[in-house]
Amino acid sequence: MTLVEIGDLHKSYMTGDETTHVLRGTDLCLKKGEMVMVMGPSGSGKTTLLNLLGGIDSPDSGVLVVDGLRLSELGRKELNRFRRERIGFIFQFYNLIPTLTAIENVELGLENLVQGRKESRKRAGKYLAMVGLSDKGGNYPQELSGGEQQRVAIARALAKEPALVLADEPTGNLDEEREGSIMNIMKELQNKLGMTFLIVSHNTRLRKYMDRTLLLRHGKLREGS
Amino acid sequence: MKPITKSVVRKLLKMKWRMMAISLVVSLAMAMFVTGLYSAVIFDHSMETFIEETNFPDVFIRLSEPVDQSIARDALENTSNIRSYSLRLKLDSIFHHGGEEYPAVIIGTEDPKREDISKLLLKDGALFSREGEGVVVSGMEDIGAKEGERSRFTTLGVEVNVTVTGTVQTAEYIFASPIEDAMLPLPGNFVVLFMDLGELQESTGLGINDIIVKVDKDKREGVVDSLGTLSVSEVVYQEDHPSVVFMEMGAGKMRNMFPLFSVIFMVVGVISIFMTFYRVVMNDSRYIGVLMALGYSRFKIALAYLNFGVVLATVGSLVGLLLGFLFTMGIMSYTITMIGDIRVAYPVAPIPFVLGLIFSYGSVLVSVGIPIIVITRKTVRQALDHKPKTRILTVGTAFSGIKKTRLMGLRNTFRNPARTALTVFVIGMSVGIAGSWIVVADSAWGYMQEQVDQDTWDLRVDLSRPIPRENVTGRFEMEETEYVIPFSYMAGQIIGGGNSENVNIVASDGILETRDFELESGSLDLSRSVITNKLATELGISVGDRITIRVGPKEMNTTVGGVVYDILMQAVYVDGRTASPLTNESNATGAYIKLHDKKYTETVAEELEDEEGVSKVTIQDDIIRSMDETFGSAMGLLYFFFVICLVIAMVIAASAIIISTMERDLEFATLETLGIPKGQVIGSMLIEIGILGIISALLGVPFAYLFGKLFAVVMEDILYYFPVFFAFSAMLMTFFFGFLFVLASSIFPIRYTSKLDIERTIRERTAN
Repeated sequence: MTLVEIGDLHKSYMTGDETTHVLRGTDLCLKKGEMVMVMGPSGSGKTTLLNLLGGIDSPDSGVLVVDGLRLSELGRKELNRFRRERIGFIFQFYNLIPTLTAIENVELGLENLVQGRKESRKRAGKYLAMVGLSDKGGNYPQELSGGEQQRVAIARALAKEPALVLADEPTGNLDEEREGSIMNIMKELQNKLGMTFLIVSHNTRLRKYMDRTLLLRHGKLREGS
Repeated sequence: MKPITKSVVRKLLKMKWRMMAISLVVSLAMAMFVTGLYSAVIFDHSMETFIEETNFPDVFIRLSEPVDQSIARDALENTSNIRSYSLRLKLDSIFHHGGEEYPAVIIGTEDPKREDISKLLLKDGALFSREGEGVVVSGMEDIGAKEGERSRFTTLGVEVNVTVTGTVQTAEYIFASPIEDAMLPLPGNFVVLFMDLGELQESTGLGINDIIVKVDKDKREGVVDSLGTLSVSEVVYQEDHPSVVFMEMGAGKMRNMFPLFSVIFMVVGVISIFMTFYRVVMNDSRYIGVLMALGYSRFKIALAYLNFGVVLATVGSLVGLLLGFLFTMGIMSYTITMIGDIRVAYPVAPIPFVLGLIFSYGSVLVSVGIPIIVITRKTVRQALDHKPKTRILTVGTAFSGIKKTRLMGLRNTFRNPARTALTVFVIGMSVGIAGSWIVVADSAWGYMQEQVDQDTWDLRVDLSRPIPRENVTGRFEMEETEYVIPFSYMAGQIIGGGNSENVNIVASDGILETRDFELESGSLDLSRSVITNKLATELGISVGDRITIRVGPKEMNTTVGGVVYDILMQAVYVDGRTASPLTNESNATGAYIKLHDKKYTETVAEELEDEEGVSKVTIQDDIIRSMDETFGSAMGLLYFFFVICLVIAMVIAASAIIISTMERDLEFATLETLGIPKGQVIGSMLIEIGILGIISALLGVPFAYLFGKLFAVVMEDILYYFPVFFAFSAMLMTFFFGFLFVLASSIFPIRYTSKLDIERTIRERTAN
């Protein structure tokens, strides 16, 4: 069953007087429950692709369907709902809210999604424990190391149990051991809950966890070797 | 442009809205500064021009009894140094129109075309040229005193009918006030008619009782002394004339009040600028360190940042200059409509504007300069290692159960306690300034009411010539009267403490019955003298000091027995015996009357007006009504300032809040990526701004009282004393409207976050 369908997707940016074509007729099809990694040189459009799939940016042209929803047809409010219910973002720089503790950051993602505060706290605690931070729930982001912050960001995205997780260098700040542990959690969730992962990374070690690896070059995706 | 300057400019241009908000605060502060100084110049200049144009008299002399004009002329002709003079018959009267009666004064003058003394400036129609004609002072057209009307006046039981040939302006009556002795111009319908002297004399059988003189300042006393044979009851020098006093009061108010406000606003502006720049420069610390490492001198780096301060000051100052000019125009037109008909002269006066520019540039550059100096004093290593501190204040676990977006709002309020404290302080001060207008208005109004309530009399009768006291009592005692207290009223000068002031002298044995005097110091000892507090302050005298009171050529010496509060009169109260050197002890010029019941007021007043020898009847309730009207218009202005100050508070709040919102744009973008509904994000911001608003508005309450006190001190110096009290309603208003306006400022950050480009924000902020 197809979860993501991208067809002939174009996206360009204006840089001063110059137009930079990032995506030039990109095609992609992701099956539900698939874990796919996109690799490519810096500036090749990997993050742009994630942003387009998450509905925080819009393409110039092309087809973009996620979980049956044609994103170009959704308004701002519907896109918001779409992100809330179906997307889990893991940012390269975590983007944690500094005024909320680790557990509250995870709970934030569950607002309007999980009924009841107790349930929400329970699930947040569970995912925080999964990433190995059960004892750090009461800490504010600035009291955590880079790696710990990254794990909170991962917990926040996964706790939502979304249909699609969009991750930008999710293990960039983790040591090899921690990286393996996080990837195993993701794999487990992929298998148990049928969550789909699209991961952007330069880290070749992650390939072993992937169902597929794609290479983004010159604005087009192709199967990686 | 050098790369370093370009870089700073680009960085600061990103904060253009914040900068514009700050510029606006600077502009408003400067506008107030300029408005105060320039309005004062205009007041002074307009009055000077008017006095010059109309050849305003240097001395006004009133006789207690009319005399044949040849006697007065002889006395004046034998006096040297007089440049010009005019003999007039000035009578209190009543103007009848449309079944109504209005207080009026008729001035019989020899030649209406005279230009050498008290020139009548023709506004409409023509000056009178024959019998049965007259001109009225403009401004009373609404009640029928206008060109072309056949008007009926009555004075001393005589009917005077004239055709009004035109309306005029005169510096003697720049505001028409039925209560001539009042320190404040109390408005009301009051008609001033100028007509032929001979005709008025013929109708009334009187001579002249009013002399105006143009003479050098140092020769004035000599002129007054030369009139020793005449019964002088009032002598008023030019600088003490109500028109001049009022214009000076107006100028004083402008000169003191507005710059005071501007200083407070500039403090607010300076703190806002300082907060912003401190943040910008501290955040740029590493970048500044890099520049230093590349070999840029500290001076060059400082200059690049300082350039922006110059731009900020320039924009703020230019807008401030324009606003200042516009405010001045607005205030002058409003004030002029309050005081009457005087031509406003806008002089070329660069000094207020130059001072405003210095004030504005100085304040902005200092507040920009300090953080730059702080950071450029660091070593390259220190600058490179510097990390902006982000301290989150934990609000405990009590709130952790609430929605996380609400928790965010709550914690965001205190995430940087020092900055929050400063922001709250600045907004609180602005709300306080606004509230102080309410405090001042309430206090001044309340005190004035209190003062009026101290008078126990219902009617005051003024006689056209003095008569024995026992006759006064006998003549005016009726079934309806509770008391009739005769008095002698004079106007002259009081000399004490090395200074001299114009003063009204009320001599009466029963004066203490007519008013519940509020004693400031000493005792109500009329065998010495009781003076009003403003007089004591102006002269610099107190209980026990010696004073001299002069009325024309006569004078008396006494000591101050007591000082009383009185906002209406600048007066000295003495008993009949003490005043005997000035007047015939047994004579009275009028009486205070109290009725058993106020309902008889109108009837008794009418009866008294018809009495022979009665020149004027004043009803206490008319004074109260007049004061109500005065304060009604003044209140409008005060409430206008209240709203203006609240708008400024809103701008300051918006500027402070938008700063913190912009700094947190990545957080708002993240909330969007998490799919947090817009309503919740707005709710979070409203919580934050609401808390800020509540604390600021609460802080604004004591500030309002403090600034109210400060303004009251300034007002005492230029207007009159009033005690400051803080009514609960004023507190509530300050708090409620302060909170409302601060909350209203949330529209700006809400609009900002609504238009936030998520993708770009995340890309740019994480790229940094």
